[in-house]
Amino acid sequence: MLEGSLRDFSLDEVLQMVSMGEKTGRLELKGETPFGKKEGSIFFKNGEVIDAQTNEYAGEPAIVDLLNIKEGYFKFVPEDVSHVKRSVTKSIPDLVLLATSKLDEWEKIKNKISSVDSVFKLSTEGIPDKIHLSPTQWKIISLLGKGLTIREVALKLNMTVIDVSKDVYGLVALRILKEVGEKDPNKGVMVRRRGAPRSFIIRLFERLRRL
Amino acid sequence: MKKYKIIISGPFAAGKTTFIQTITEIAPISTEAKTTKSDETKVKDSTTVAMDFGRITIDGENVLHIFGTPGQFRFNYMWSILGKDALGIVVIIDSGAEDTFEDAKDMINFFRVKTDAPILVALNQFDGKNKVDEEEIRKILNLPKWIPVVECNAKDKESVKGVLTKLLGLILAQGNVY
Repeated sequence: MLEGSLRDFSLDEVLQMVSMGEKTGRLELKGETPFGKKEGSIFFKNGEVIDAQTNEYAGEPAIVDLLNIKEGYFKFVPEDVSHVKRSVTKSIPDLVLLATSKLDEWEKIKNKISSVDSVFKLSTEGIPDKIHLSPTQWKIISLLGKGLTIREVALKLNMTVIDVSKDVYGLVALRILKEVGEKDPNKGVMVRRRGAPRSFIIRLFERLRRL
Repeated sequence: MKKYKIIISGPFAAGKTTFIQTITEIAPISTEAKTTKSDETKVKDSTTVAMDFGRITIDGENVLHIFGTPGQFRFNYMWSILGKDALGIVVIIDSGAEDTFEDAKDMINFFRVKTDAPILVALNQFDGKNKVDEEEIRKILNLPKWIPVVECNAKDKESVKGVLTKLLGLILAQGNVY
């Protein structure tokens, strides 16, 4: 068994050790990502990644989530994985690259979307005359329109929060969606509201008139 | 006290500081520094380097803060900082300063990418200068139809009130109101 803190070994180093040693078993990971605490397992067969599982996702989205852990713990447990169905075919360097590029995308997305717990409203003001939307974007719009957060939509569609955020970024740029606030992911209640109450704007109108 | 903010932006020497001075109820706070670049010293002696600040109190619980950004692209980190969570953005353009239109275009695009706040273009009319009209500036700046253009005189209180009233209408229609 291989066990330790990601302060002492980077996740890249741990993956290399398992891969180079052609190990078979389960790598348990637990720690902080830019999207909150994550916990899950990556399954290896002869040093190759075959599947992953978190509380939220399975397969590639789960790996992307787990590879974004920067601070936390790991434990490699050698065990038989013949019961695990292969869902991942990418090599470890490709998976690391994928996770890194998704994190880079998130850095850009953050300009328009402040959090994966953001809530949106549909808007029709100022949208272009013709818009082409993919089936996935339709699903995302429909779920966000019901008041779900990006995180909740990602769970429903088994997509990573970054992939959903990327689509949302485009929809916000097209002015189809507008961020209106943020929910507490644990309590499911709105904790931050963007903008101002309508009554404030009306009073400001009146105040300007009197100036 | 709940604080809300709007942003007054625009290229160098477009009239942003004057706009805020005209409408604020407090003595405006400015962060001016001596201009050092030769092309800028020809236009004015000092320039905003961090921000201008004005205020309109609504009642005992609500206040509107008016932030003016620096005009030069080299200070664009302040545009991001000030633009965060703004209710709306006014981009002031000197209607006679054709050499600044390209900067205005970059600035509008910057805010379109960085925020989802409604944007209004205010064409500031300086005396004795040739000026462009709304149709021309729309073409030059390649403005989408959701960004309106209004004429204004940054020194005239009624004119400034007119711009802000138009912006409030936009915020109600396009902005984050609940």
